[in-house]
Amino acid sequence: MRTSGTKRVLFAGVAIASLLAACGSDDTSGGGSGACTTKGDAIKLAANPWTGSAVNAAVAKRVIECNLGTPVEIVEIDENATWVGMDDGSIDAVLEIWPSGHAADKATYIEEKKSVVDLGLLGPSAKIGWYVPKFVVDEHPELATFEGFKDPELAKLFATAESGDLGQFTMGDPSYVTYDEQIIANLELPLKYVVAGSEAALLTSIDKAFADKTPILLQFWQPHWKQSKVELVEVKLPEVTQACTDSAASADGGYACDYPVDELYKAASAGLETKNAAAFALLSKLQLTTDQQNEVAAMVDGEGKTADEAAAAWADANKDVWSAWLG
Amino acid sequence: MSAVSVESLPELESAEVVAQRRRKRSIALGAFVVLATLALVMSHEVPSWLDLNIQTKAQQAYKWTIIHRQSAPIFTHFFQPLTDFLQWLYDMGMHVLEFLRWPGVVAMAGAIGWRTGGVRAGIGAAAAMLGVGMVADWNLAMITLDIMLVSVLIALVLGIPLGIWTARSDRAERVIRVLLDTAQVMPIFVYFSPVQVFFGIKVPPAIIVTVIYALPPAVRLTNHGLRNVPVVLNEVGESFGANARQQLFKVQLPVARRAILLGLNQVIMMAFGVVVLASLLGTGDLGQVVLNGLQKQKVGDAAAAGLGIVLLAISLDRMSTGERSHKFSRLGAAMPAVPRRVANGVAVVAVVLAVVVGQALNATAFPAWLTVDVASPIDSFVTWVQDTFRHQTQATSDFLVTYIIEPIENLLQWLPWFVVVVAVSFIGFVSKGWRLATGVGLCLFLIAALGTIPGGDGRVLLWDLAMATLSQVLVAIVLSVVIALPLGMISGRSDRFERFLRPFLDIAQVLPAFVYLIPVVFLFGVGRSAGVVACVIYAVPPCIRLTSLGMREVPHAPREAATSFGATGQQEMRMVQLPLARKSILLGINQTLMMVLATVIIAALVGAGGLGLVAYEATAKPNIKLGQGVAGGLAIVLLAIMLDRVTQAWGTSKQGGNQ
Amino acid sequence: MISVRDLWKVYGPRAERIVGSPEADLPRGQLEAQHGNVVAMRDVSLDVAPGEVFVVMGLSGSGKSTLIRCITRLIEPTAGKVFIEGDDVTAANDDQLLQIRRHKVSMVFQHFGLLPHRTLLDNVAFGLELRGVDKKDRRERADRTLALVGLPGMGEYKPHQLSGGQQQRVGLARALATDPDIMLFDEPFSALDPLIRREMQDEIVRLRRELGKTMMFITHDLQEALRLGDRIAIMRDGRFVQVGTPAEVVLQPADEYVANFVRDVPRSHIVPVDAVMAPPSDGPFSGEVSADTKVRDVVALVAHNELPVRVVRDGATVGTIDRVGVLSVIAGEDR
Repeated sequence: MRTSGTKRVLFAGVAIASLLAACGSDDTSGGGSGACTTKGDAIKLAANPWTGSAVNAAVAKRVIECNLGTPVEIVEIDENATWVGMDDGSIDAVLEIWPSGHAADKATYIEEKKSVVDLGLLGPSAKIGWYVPKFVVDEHPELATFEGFKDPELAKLFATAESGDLGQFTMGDPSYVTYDEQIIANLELPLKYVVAGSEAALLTSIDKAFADKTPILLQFWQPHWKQSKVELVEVKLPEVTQACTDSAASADGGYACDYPVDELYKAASAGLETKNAAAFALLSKLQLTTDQQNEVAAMVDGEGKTADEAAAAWADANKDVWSAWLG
Repeated sequence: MSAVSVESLPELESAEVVAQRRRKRSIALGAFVVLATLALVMSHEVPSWLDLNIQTKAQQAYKWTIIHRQSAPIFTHFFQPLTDFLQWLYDMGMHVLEFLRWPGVVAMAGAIGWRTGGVRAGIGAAAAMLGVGMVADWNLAMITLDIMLVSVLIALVLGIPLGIWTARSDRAERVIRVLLDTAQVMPIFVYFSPVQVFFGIKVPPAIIVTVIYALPPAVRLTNHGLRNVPVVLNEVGESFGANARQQLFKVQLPVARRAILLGLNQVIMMAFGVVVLASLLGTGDLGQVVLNGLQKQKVGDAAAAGLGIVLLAISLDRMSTGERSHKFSRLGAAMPAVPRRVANGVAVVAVVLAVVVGQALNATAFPAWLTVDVASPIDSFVTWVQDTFRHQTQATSDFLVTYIIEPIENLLQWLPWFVVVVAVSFIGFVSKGWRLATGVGLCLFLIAALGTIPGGDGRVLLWDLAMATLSQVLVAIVLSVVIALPLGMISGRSDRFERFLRPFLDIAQVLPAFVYLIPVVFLFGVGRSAGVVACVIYAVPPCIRLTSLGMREVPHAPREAATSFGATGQQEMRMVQLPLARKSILLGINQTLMMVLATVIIAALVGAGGLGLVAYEATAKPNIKLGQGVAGGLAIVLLAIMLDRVTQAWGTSKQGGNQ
Repeated sequence: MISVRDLWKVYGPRAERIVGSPEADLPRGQLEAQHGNVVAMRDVSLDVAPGEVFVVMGLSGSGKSTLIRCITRLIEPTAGKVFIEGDDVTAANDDQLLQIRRHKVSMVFQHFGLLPHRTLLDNVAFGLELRGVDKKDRRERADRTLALVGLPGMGEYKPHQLSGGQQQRVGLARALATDPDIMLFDEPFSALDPLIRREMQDEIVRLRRELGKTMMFITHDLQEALRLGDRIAIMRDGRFVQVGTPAEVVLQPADEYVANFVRDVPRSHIVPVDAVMAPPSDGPFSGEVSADTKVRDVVALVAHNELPVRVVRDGATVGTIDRVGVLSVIAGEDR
């Protein structure tokens, strides 16, 4: 009885307060300096958890809001959930998809269900590969190529409690594409494949290796903000052959080459074109070079700006680049 | 015999009964030995005909829902309206929170805390809420708060009736218990992708995920409270002619109030446990800040947001204790009793005032001068810890992997699968009887029937992964117990130590595991021992709590008797308190076990591999690996149920059943 | 054997300051509201002689359980002194206190306080085990003690297999096994059925006769106090209101409170003949009784015989009692 009585009184209080406040409240839409005025249905752009994805979205937001007058909402979200969001239209577009990790999503949503459409290439390409710290190659130059790892003694430099007598090969997030187990087996390298489980664990392993100057061999990729913080060297793997491409497609376990280059692409919800044709057209044309993307990313990772601030600064200085996306 | 009593002496068990029991036992042992030998002769590996094809079926079902989620009636007529309703609830909550503004929210927390839990709870709730704004982004915190409030509300609306139902039907209890165990242990990653397909992205699926995870204590504690209503009170109700409804609402629920409130409290704590994972769905709240910090390796940023989550949880905790302390309190004694109406009025006026002031000052943002930079000190502390201890911790980690985890894992994987089934069944039989033996045997059998997944040079049996996980889980449990028991014992005997420990336990329990992943990897290196450490951090607090509680619940009489005969404090503990707390401590260990299994998934994120990794891949690549993830998750659940039922049998075995 | 001097127990903050102060006499509720203190026992002094059974009787909350716990400092008294065989218990250090508990005093508890995880034998041997007696010896002695309390050969049972009365026999055996000079009883029989309680009281009477222990016995049952006690202390609100022999308490209650208590007690059960006898006279007599015989036990002698009965003490005749004398005691009961 007491509790319900209390609640009733409190509720009444809230009601009174809301009446009082209704008189004095006015709607001031907040916004940073230089924000453009917008109206209408917001375009929802996904920002996946890495800097490149965030700056693409921020640049697009800036250009759309200031030139089309359409508000843009950035949705920070996991990359797999992005596909479901585009499928039902709760996300309108994503501007950086790494094709190697999303072949199955592309097959389901773009090709089979047709609820998501391909918006073409973003511009930058990415490359997954095997990396070791530079200090390792300085000491053992033969480890700059995979051949060096055939020597059990050299491979053993990478041994840990987890890998026992073999050298440890460290893989990060298992959701990223990997042929490493096959490469190790097919090239007969004395290595053990160990999954660190997450990108954070992988990055921390790198830091630890550099702190103690212990060798580490890992799957890593370019572009990544960490590449500018530590000196990593890519280990040369056999050139990509047709046999490897075929093997990857058929998943027969025979892959024994380097990773192919990933051409990053954009995708949108199938409903975007009818929802906002202008935005759809702009996003289709949107392209950045690797250098341009790096420039914005450096402002975020290096100078500690927010993605929005960095995008605004870049857009102000590069009108010629984005004006090509309009009209 | 000098005295002839009017009472008859109990008879000792006849030799015949004893012999009969012994005979039964040796027959069972014989049967197991025969089965085990048979198993050895039989195939070493799980045969492929055992595969139930659960993986393929789950994968096909997922594909079907993706293709039909906009057209099938179940979606258009059920899931879509439900999703809209959840979004509406969230929007309503956001309107209220935005309207209250930060002064109003702080005042509201204080007012609710004060009126339901007393002055201390009120101050605590308001201070914690203020602290949220000081260490973390206020607006993002309000998104988290809103999601939590809606989820807790739904968990109660569903959980209390389910609890009432299970209290009234033993059958319902048995079935629902398995479902609740599943909800508690099934890794969220497994149903993460399906939930998106059913409820879209952002807030609604986040609410669903939170409700699934936080529901069990609401059901369990309602059930527990109702089942523990003293018989005499039920008789009182009946003797005065209460019908079933009156009995429930006028006698049972009020008497069970404490348990139900405890349930509410636990629901809140559990709900906060999934904030970070839920933010993967795009909620854009404090959990997202933790994830971003993790991605950029900014431990301090992640920890500051994590601390915000902890403070939010503490604030809600203080608001929901619902019990005023009636101890000797000089503050309470000195203050004149305020009539309830007046106090309620004061509370309301305070909240209204705070809202009016907030509106007048247009306090949309939390004032910058009130914020505190906690990220930098945390960063330097973490760096210091890493630099100071990492060589010792790495050495410990290597030892753990090489000499403990690896040998156990090898042994479990080397043993023919059927031998493991038979051996565990036998443990079940000795612990309780045939029923338990069959149950745990069935659990392992089902794990064997989950098939293989791609890995290594070809395909890996889920059975082998389950054995890998089991070995880590066993090590983690032993370590947790070794650490927690002494601390629990001390805090069970010393109020001061318990008070000292409490904030640490609170934080360890609510702080998102993601916050300490980076230091754990730095200290222990990626691998199985880092996984074990992650599990231990999470499992130790409840084990300490329950050990302490068990020690404190030991009846006073035998302890006093021991003291009166000249037992020293240490003797009293060893000879009386500990043996009598045995059951409670075993139940504590049982809970520890469930916590460890619930953390297997986090362990996978630092390199523990095993089933946790399989379950994680369900989220990572749902279009190809959901089926595998479901199988991996099921295997974790089956392991949990098996270990739970066996240890529970130890905890509830008859006093004096074992000599 | 036991001496208690000006013993106080006050709960709450800064309890020492309440002892002996005017605040101590405030009504209970007021003291608690104003200072947060509760006085459980105030200014209690007593002496128990060797071999004596000293009963403390009072209702619940009167402070009697606090008193008995203060004797061996299971509860620390706030002020005052306790001596056991001349040693100051209140000044003893931890080690001395353990020695007193292990060797001189043992206690029987209201809720038995048996250790449910131990067999009866190991329960009874508990005190000896603490004392460091080796296993064989202590189990032998425990076995004998169990027989002494009427549970021979039951050593391997667990407490939960026994009834309440039997469990308390074990509690009694545990207290006896250490062969202490002093035994403390904290309402040991209050949880038992009347018939069993009676049986246990007889057991105490018998043990006392056979073993001659000094006993301090707490009870809320007046009948029990009168049956067992050489002297009885009536306790109320933490202090003694009267200390005396059963006859004194019944015949000369100190105040209205005690008088109310003893109103319904059958006097003939309590009053010895020498308290109501006539002066000695010449015979003939129908028989003779000793001076400490209770009046009701003379009824059978005078019922069928007009002649008075001779009362003797130490072989000498000290008085006579006849039918009228007996009847007047019995009739006086219903005043």
